[in-house]
Amino acid sequence: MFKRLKRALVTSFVGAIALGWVFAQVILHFAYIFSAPIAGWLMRREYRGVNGAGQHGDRVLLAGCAARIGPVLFTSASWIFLTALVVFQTVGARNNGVGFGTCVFSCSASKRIDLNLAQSVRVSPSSENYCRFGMVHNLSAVQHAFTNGYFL
Amino acid sequence: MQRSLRQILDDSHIAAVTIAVLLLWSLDGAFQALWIPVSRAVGFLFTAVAILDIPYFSPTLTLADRFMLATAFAYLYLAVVSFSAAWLLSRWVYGTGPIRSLTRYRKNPTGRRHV
Repeated sequence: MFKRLKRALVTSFVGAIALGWVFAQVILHFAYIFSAPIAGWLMRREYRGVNGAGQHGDRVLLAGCAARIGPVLFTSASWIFLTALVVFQTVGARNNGVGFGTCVFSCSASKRIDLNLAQSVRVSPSSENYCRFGMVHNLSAVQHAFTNGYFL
Repeated sequence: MQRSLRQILDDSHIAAVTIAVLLLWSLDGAFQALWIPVSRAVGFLFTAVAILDIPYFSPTLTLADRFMLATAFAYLYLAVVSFSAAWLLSRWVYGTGPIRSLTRYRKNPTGRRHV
């Protein structure tokens, strides 16, 4: 069930889009750490005299900076966890354009493998034990097969 | 086989999506930053045409003006940071600029026959 879900996320590019968006959020949150003190200082300057904000200036600036570190840590941890869950387990195989470094095979049906998008090459019967249900189980064997030209 | 983070980001297409998202945010930030002063200038012009005179404007920056400028600068900062991040990420992962790195996905099929 989980493998099927993961495979659907990989092949539909939904996982790549989601992880890319989260990675962009990580970058932006990281940039906000440096802009938060300036924004806090501007706000304090504008509201000076209204709420007596000038009394604890340094602490307010540091608090604004520290408040931005939390989202960075949370989003980066989430991104690393999700990427490790979906990507790192399947890396090692050659990228065939499907994404996440997985080799998505259909060798059980038509003995064909998609390689680099439009290019299709025939898979020899001996390579059947290298792939199962479209996911690579023995990466070193697949690399060996690629190197030795088993995929003809 | 151990692969670097750069290779993983490249193979998984995460880098491409991130670059695209950052470019979109950069465009959005630039548009929002320009929209505030431009809309105000357009309003000023329309008022001038409507009353056939020069509308009132404060010679000094009011509180509202300062807030408007701060908001515009915040959006401008978002645009600059997003574009810089997209450019740096693209240079690191693909070795080219963000637009050129995304053009390699132009001919990619949207769906696949073999799932």
